[in-house]
Amino acid sequence: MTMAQVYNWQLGRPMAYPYEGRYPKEQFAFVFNINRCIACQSCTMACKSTWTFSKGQEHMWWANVETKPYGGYPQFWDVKVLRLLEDANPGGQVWSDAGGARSERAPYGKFAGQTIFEAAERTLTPESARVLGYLPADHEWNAPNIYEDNPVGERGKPGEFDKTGVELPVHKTWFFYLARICNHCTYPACLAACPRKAIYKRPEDGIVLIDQSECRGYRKCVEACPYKKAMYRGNARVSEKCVACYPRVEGKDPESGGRPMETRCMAACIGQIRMQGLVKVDEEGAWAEDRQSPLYYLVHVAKVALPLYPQFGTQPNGYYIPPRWVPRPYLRQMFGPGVDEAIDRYATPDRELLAVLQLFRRSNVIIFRYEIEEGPRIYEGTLHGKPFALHNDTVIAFDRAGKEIFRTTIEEPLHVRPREHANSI
Amino acid sequence: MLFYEGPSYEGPPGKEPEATDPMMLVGVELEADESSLRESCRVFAEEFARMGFSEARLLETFRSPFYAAPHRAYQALGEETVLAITREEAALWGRFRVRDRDAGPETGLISLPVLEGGQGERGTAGCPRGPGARRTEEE
Repeated sequence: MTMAQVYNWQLGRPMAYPYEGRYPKEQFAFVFNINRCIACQSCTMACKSTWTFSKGQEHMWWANVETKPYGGYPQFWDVKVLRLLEDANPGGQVWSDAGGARSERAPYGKFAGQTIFEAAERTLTPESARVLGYLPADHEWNAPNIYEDNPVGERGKPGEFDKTGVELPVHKTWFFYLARICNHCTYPACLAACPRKAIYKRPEDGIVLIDQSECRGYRKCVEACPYKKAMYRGNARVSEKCVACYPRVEGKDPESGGRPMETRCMAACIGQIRMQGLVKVDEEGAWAEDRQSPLYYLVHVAKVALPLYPQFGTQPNGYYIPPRWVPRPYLRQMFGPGVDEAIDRYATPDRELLAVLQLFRRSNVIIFRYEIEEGPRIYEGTLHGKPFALHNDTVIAFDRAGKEIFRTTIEEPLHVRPREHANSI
Repeated sequence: MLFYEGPSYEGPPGKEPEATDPMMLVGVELEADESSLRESCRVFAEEFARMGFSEARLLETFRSPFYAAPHRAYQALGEETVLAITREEAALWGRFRVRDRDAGPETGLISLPVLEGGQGERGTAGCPRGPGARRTEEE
């Protein structure tokens, strides 16, 4: 089929998409700081206990945390999609000017490879096939994070652990936890693939939903979503997906007091890795400048937060501060060429970045704007061998109406658990 | 081009793996260069420093083989490098206040020293403790 051309700023170029570009007034977006994630799975269970606790939803983990590089839910989702793209365009999945000049419209350079839409256009038949993807087998949905923190047994003895334990030779190890929800993409693959047009993107906040009355359970969305965040429910014979806790985002949750509120998975995050917001969108689907929005600052000014697998081409609205200790080639594959700059800035943060990082999880109300009041210098020394100063600035968060939500400082006290709650969590 | 491609097939549950199966977690080795190890060392030091470890205690942690990952970094990078990292991280992130409600609202609080003659939260410029040292009023 002939596709429309839309602009994908994460790829730095126009790309093919089955529909004309239509963009919401504001976009649901979030930043996860992976450096802080401890995989406690509080987000996972907050979502599970809110939305997917019913019969037929046993395998549904709309929010999950997987241990990279080995884990994934469904198993191997990302490497399978990468392999499909590599097979469709051998050796061509590269960024053409990753080190070249950057602009607002191409902050990571230009992607010279093929997206899941472009590869489908060139390689798939029949013409109705719109997205390159695959349908995970049943057993790939069996375990949310198989082998996480568990030893595996001897080879050839399934279901049995070593009785005496084993000692591994000294080896270099690294891993990190990747927290995921639906990215509520600007160019959703699930929406593009649905033969019944049952999937839609809300014009007010860009949240992607499946109309349950229209869905007939063809599972084209499950096959198409490269992040595998659309899931099929066998007993209801429809597909379901993350709804971005839209009643909370709308300010209709009783707790919200009418103010836009962050999702359950964000609010439950004890590692304080998560911040969610609603960002302004321009006529081409990119983020409109909004300098004092914390998400805009992290993604477009400090450029420490990067999209997950931007090369898939869906322009995901979830952004990640990449883990500092992970080998760069792996991170570049996962987050694109912006990785080196992002980690350099995160590892030696400037005054504003330190302040914005303090905004994470101080409140469940969505932050639309922040201000910083300068405080005294409290440390002078070095970091990474370079001169570094720390100031005890105060950062103030405001809601949509411009009302102050909270204020906090760079230096926070450490609270000793009081005797009366010594064993509570 | 792919930097890393994980195993692409996991056999059906309960079936014996065969030698030719690209089974998960078997023989998958990924590159980790020295910069990665150095950064790991820094995040270990930063995290423990934020938890209140002094510079000396941080170094002991790296020296101890019971802390496998920090010790591996210690072995690979050497004492001098680890010492420089722990010193820097402890000086920067090891400065924090302790609030102990049981010790009472006033005595349970220790504020930070402030440079340049500025005022801290409770105006405690000139607090005698040095960077990285953890103390409460009870001590």
